[in-house]
Amino acid sequence: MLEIKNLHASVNGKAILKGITLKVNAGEIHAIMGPNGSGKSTLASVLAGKQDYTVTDGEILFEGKNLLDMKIEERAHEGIFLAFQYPVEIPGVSTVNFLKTAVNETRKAKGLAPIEAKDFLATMREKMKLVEMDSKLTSRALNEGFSGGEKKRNEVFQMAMLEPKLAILDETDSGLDIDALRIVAHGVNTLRNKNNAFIVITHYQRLLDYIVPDFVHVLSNGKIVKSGTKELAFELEEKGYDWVKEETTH
Amino acid sequence: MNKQVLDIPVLNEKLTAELQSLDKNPLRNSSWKNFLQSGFPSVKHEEWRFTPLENSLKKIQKISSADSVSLPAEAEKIIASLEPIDAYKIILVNGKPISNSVNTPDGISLLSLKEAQIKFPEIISSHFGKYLNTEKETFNALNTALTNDGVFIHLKKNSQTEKPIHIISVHDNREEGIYSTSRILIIAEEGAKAHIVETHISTAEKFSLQNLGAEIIVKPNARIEYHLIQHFSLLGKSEASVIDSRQVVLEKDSFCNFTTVSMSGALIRNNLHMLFNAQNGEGHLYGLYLPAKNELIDNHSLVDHAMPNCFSNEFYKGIMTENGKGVFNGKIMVRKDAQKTNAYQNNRNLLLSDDAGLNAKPQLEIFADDVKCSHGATSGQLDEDAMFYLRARGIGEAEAKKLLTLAFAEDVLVQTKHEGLHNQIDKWIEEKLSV
Repeated sequence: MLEIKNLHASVNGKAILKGITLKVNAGEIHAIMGPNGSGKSTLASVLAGKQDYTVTDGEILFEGKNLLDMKIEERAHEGIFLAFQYPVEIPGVSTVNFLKTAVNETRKAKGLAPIEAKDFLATMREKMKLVEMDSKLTSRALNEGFSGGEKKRNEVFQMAMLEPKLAILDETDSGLDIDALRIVAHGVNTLRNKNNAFIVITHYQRLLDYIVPDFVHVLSNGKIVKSGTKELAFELEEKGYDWVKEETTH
Repeated sequence: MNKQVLDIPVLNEKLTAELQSLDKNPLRNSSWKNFLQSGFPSVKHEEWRFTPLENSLKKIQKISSADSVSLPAEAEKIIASLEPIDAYKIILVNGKPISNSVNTPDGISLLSLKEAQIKFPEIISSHFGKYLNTEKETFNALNTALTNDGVFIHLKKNSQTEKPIHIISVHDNREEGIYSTSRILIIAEEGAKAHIVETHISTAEKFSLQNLGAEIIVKPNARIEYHLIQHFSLLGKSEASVIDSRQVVLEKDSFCNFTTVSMSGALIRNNLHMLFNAQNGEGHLYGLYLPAKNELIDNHSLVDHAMPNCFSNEFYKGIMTENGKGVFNGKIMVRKDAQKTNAYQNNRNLLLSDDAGLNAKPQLEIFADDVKCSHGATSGQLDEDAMFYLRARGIGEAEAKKLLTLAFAEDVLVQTKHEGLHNQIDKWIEEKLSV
């Protein structure tokens, strides 16, 4: 589904990603772990198309298509979804109106007619249950005044509404208490199927107790320095990131 | 004549001829003299620095006649769809009402000024021309000199309306270069309550200039919600222009919420003055302006706290596109008796194009010592993080811009407190951004 080949990216002339190669197949969950500043969030932003980053080398193929040639919204239409580490508060735009626009713009890109109002509402109700989201939140302005947990649940709710092929969760666990973490993980596990894939970016092993990855990659200084299965996450938790850094520099 | 004055001989001749044809009265005559003394301001005049009038004034070819008027067919269709649809409506063409009176419930009078002179001579003589300053403001002087009709609204003590009152002002610019005079006098007696909407539209694309003067008196405990809407390009790009001067006077314990939405017009200058003439008045001034290609929208406001314990809140937002120019000049005056004044002002601007421009000048003049005042002005582009967030959800760039721009306008529009009006303006903004 996704093939990242020797990806180099920089921001303001400073190299952040220094040759990342990663292959994600449908049905897989990949966890990307690493210390602060290792380039985890940059990778997520580059995949979603954030313009602050310049790709200096390498390529990204999504279902065989060149992702780097696509606009931000085109990537979303192709089925890429980024759950933001810091969801943006947008006063004046209601969550419902925003979601309806997002759903319909994606449908339009696929040549489909706008969704019927009653179908939209029914889907919304169903997906809100999934993340135990308060229905009052959807009538409020997008993320405005939402608590940290509400914002993250809103991200997973949007993911459920848009049904992406590849979802990238950028530190979705940060700032969440254990109950919120369970709810978010339940949402992801319910949406998971053999046709979609997830990249879960996290600093801590904790999230991976709830979302069990097929593969774990350790990112350090802009490179994947170690890959393995879920056991690698336990080892990291036990020994800390210095262990990987030491091991790779020797 | 000093150098702050524009000299446009052709126009002066026309104006002089026009005045001679009108019957003489003392207020008109003194106003005319005031106008002759001050003339039209040039850009060297401090209050007109960013709003050059010369090119517009030179285009004036004809002073709109005082004869009876009929409604142009072009305007009929727009009027039928204008919110608020369910309202007591009075329609003006180039400042002149097409009928002398409108059926309203007891206690509410909605008449032409001419008719009011017959029916309410005492009210007219004690209020007309008493509030708009004709000595310092040259356009007020000219307006008062040339006024021979207009709108009169009188709300009796403790009266209130179920439906809004809608003044629909049609600027008939099918002929090039029409100059018209429009005048409004509104008196809300003690405890009266009303929602008044005033919508300005035009019939064609040609240049016209209206000089509008309005006096709005809010007596003790009265409450006025006012929405002024200026949208001249509903039938296509219009060069209709207006200089709109208003004096709102707030008496004891009264309330006024005045919202100005300037959607389109070649040149719009709003001089909104609000005077706190007694204690415990509360006044809100909201504004939204959207100058686009070759448009200039200038809001010059004066909030004058003359008495203690009053509250004012001014909040204006501008959305500038193409080479549109916005001007915001907001002055808060707190006179020495006006202790315990709370006065706030905020001006925010969105520049959606590199060619768009804005001049903002907040001014505070405080002569009392126990007051709370603040002001702020900002201008910027759409938030990049918000744009990225929306686009990452599949919303295209144009659509995302539209959503964020509507969101920017929202906290002013929410003040309309009228769903139909609110939706209508949202729709207009979307249309304007789609061009």
